[in-house]
Amino acid sequence: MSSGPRADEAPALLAVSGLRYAYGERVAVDGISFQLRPGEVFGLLGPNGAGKTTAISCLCGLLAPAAGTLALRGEPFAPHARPADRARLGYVPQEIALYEGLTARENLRFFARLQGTRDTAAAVAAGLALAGLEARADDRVATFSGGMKRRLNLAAGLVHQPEIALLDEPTAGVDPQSRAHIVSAIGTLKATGCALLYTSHAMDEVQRLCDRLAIMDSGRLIACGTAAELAALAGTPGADLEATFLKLTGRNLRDETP
Amino acid sequence: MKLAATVWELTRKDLLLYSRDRTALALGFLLPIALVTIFGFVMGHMGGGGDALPAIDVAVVDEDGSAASAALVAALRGSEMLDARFPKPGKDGAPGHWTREDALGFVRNGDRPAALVIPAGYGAGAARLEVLADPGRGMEKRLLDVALLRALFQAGGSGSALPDMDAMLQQMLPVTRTDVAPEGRDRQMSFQISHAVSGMTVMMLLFSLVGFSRSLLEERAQGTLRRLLAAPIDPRALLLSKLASSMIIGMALIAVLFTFATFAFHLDVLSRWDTLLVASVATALACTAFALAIAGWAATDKQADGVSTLLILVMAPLGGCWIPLMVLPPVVRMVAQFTLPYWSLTTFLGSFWYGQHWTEPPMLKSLGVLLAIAAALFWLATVLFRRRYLAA
Repeated sequence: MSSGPRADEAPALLAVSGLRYAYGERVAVDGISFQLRPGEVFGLLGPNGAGKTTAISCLCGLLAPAAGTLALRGEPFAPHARPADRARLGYVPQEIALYEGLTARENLRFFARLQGTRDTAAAVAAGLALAGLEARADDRVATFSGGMKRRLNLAAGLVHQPEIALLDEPTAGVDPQSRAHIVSAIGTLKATGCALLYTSHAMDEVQRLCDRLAIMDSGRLIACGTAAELAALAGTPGADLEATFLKLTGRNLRDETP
Repeated sequence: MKLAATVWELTRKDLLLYSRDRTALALGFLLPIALVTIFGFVMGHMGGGGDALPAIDVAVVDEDGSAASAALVAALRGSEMLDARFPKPGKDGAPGHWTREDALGFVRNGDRPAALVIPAGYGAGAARLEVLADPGRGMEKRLLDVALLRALFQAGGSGSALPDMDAMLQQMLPVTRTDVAPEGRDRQMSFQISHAVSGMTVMMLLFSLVGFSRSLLEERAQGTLRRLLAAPIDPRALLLSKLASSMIIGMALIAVLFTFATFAFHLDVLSRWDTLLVASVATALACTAFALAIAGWAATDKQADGVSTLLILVMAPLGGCWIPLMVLPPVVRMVAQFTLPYWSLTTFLGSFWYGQHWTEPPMLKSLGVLLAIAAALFWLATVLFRRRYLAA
């Protein structure tokens, strides 16, 4: 767990209230509420199919929520309807969403321009540094290793220096070196005041990185707080996050319905 | 970011990716060139090229051996309409021999569409010529009848200075013939080649652009589409950029194929360049809209591949891309008018062969239909795209 002043002392940057989304009859996100504060890393945890990706899709404007409200710095926030609102977010999808036929530099420049970044060259340089890919900037992504692609995937989502970053499993399937680099990059972002919403199944990483956590199961938010608060809630004070998580969500396998 | 700037960024990215994909380039440009070459060559040399009819392959059995049959055989040998086959002479130089049964076997086995038997007594006027023909090959039977008539006429003259049948017909028919062709038409250009090049261009344009528009499906599968949709851009830019990049690739393909055909087949591109440009834009637009509608409809790459291949392989021959519609039944010619390739072909042939200007009514009609098809398909693509891709 990161140290420093408690994030819940700061005013909310993003307030999510009663967010709901359904795929036909199946409710994927069922009225969840939480707040993100500046400089906070907020972990959104849950078993597969809990609704984390759907919740993030609603937050970044890919899906229009069926109900609920979003507010950014107290103002109504509608990323699904207003492109200008989307510019304030950085979205890093679970997939490696890059153009393999383009170089690292070309990918970053392309996404920076789409985000409306004014100083594209500076943004690209910062993105390459964030990804640790300065030496391979002009190589095509197709020639990169999985870890390099993951780092660039992160940089492409944050190239415009957003106020809020939505990171959907940004370290999935990477080697320890790349994981350490990504974790370090997230720490750097946090220091700039960017609020980060972070999902991952790597509990040790989440425990180390996140200031606060929310646990989702079957579309609902079943617990929210610091790791210590969650452990206390689960009746396992002092336990590690994985034990707390299993206590709160159970050990049953969650096979996602199609 | 303004819509136009976003469309440009996305289009630039698409074209850059396309230009770096060697397989896509080869399939998109070299394959069409190969097909245009093959079809142009085959169609241009059917029947010896030009306006000649194909020579009919016919086996000739001379059972008579008279002076009259020899004269007929000589006339058959000299006929341009026939590819008359005779038994090969033996090793000792003795004349070869086919029987009536041999001739029957040739036709039954499909080795020849027809055989001609000159029976014993033909020279003495005691027997009639006998044609053995496959009843299912009506066109060849009719051509054989005409060729035989000409040969008989020629043989009847027995080498005397009779005029040929065409000249006789010209004299007998009370008509004055006027050749109607646009000024400046390249004499080396043939209708068959113009048709083959236009037809293959339209068909390959459809295949190439459907292939390119599937990048929309690839982007969805790879996750880049989610990233684009999460960016602060007008979602219309995504479809408009595919339209723009597809149009550019389509126009490039048309330019390459027509330039190639100019050098390879004397296709006259330059004399009506403005009409050709308008026809190319309308065709590329309609083909692009077709490709985008497929990409908007399909849930997977395989679906897009299967449906587009099926539709193109139905539309192309039906619309006249493979063989000229004039040789097809009236019902097919009527149905053809409901296909995109038909109207594209009409505009290209109107330009190449008939020398029409794009402001002339027949061309305006074809161009108008093409643009209407493009508008309808693009509207459909927009509806499907919104339904499948945008925030719901």
